Amino acid sequence: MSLELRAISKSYDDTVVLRDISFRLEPGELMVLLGPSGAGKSKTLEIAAGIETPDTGSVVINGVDVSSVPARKRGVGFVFQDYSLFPHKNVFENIAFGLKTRGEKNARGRVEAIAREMQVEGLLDRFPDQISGGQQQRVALARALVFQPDLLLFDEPLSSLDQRVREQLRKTLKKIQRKHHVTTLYVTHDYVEAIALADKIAILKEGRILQSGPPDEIFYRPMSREVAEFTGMTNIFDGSVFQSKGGSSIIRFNGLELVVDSALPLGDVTVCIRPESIMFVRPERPSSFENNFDGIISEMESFGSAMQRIGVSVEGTMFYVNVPNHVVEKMKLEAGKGVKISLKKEKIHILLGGEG
Amino acid sequence: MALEGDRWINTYLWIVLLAGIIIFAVPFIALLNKIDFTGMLAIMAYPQVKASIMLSITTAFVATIIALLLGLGIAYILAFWEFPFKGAVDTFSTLPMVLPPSAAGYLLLLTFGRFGLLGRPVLERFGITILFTSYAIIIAQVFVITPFIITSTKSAFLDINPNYIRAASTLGSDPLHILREIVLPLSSKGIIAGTIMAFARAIGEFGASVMVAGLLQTMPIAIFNMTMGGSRDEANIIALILIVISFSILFIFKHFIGERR
Repeated sequence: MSLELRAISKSYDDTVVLRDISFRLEPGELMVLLGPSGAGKSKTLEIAAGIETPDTGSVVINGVDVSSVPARKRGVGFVFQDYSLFPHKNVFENIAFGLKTRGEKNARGRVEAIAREMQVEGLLDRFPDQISGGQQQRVALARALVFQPDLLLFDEPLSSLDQRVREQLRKTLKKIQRKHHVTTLYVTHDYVEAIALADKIAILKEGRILQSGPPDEIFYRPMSREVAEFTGMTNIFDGSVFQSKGGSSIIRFNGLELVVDSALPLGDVTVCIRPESIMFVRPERPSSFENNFDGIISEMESFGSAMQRIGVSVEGTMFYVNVPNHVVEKMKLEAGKGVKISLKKEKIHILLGGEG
Repeated sequence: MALEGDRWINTYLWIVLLAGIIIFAVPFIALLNKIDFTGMLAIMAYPQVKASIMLSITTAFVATIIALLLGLGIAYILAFWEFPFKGAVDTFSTLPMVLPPSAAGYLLLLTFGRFGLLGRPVLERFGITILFTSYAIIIAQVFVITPFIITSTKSAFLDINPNYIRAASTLGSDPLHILREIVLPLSSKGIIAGTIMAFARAIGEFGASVMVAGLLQTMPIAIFNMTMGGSRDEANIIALILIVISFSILFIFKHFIGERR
């Protein structure tokens, strides 16, 4: 099933919540709507589900305009951030709810099958307040999947869970989505989650799509400083091109010089470098990359369960580098240590003049 | 708490305890002291007494059902609809809770009386008499008790996580199914609690009904009339019955509230 939103707009009183939102999901695709809170992500999802009606624009599922079809007839599975399991119904009744409304005969068999798949088969007699948050979200997922919806919609489904459960459930979710081949729209403000899940990402801010495309494009080639900042591009510098010849250019910023692999027009630019694109190299060895800086480690902080984010100060300019824990150990990286960092010229993304 | 250590607080608490007994307990003892228990059953069989008991129970029962039907809908509108002056309408809908009942009864006279707003143009034309019939008593009770159901139902409705309703509709529920499966089960305690209080209030209603009841006597009206007319034995028995009914209702109510959550 494909999903298409065409020129959706929505306002409340004088506040514009969504402006001219358009995108298309191909069958089986998982698209992430990524943006800060208040960007209109949830509203977009609710409009796709039919819980909310747009002021203008249309929702098209599989080529059919469903704008005037109420939520109950859209055949869409919705998973809420707060799980929203019915508190007065046990796990079995919750999962079976969408089958009962459809007059499904073999409800028990199907509930048990999906419960096994979501690993909640032992909880069918329990009530929502008797199981953990992670289990509740598995039940919510089972409830949304059991009637084989054409479309799955997720509204920050993992954000109330702790790190460990979140990573676990993210894997389950991806696996299930692939297996059932359900077209999925997924809302989150966490770009790490977006990288892990998305086939396609749309960045939403203040009710507008800033950029959409495959994750690589969004993360490595952002079209604006706003997108770069929101997708965890930790190294963003204003600089200017002062030399450009033969397919490469030299950019100067904060007194440092950087070689990039394209011929740029002279003038102001914004330099974007992802924290995972920078390498630590042993000072005694010659680097094979074009850009090398000597600096001092001045900040270290855990990033996820297996990485460290390290701040390296180079003549007063801070570069943030993400490094796996085993590298930190092997190279004995620690605060105050002098280090050499290295960067391939192809990994540098440039925003020309006014774009930043 | 540990405030008993202070001498002044202690003195105050003992005075309060004593005053509480005088104000709240002694009147009941006074009543029990006056009651002639041997003649009780005979008095209860007096036509006047029996009639008032029957009238009170039937009118309160009917009034509670009408108030429930009205209250559920009004609570829904106040909880979920948006319209101008909603705050004022909300306040107005609970006004009868604090309005002196005699004033409420007077308003009803002005409405349904022979020269009332609806009296001659509507009721008289169709030959309907309301004033001084049990319908008038029911209307007076409905007027006074509906707000109890509105307030408790409205807050029960507002307590329901709106995502439950959204989830149900994405799962294929139509509005009637959502009402039956989600809204009513999740608000039933609030609705029942409000209804119990409303019934209790209806049984005890005096001020509004006495203005429109004419010669009819509910139990509270009967107590008043019998006291004024010197029939103390009858008044004693009816007061006792009212106390027993009120206590039972409160007991059920508290038990019920205690079971919440």
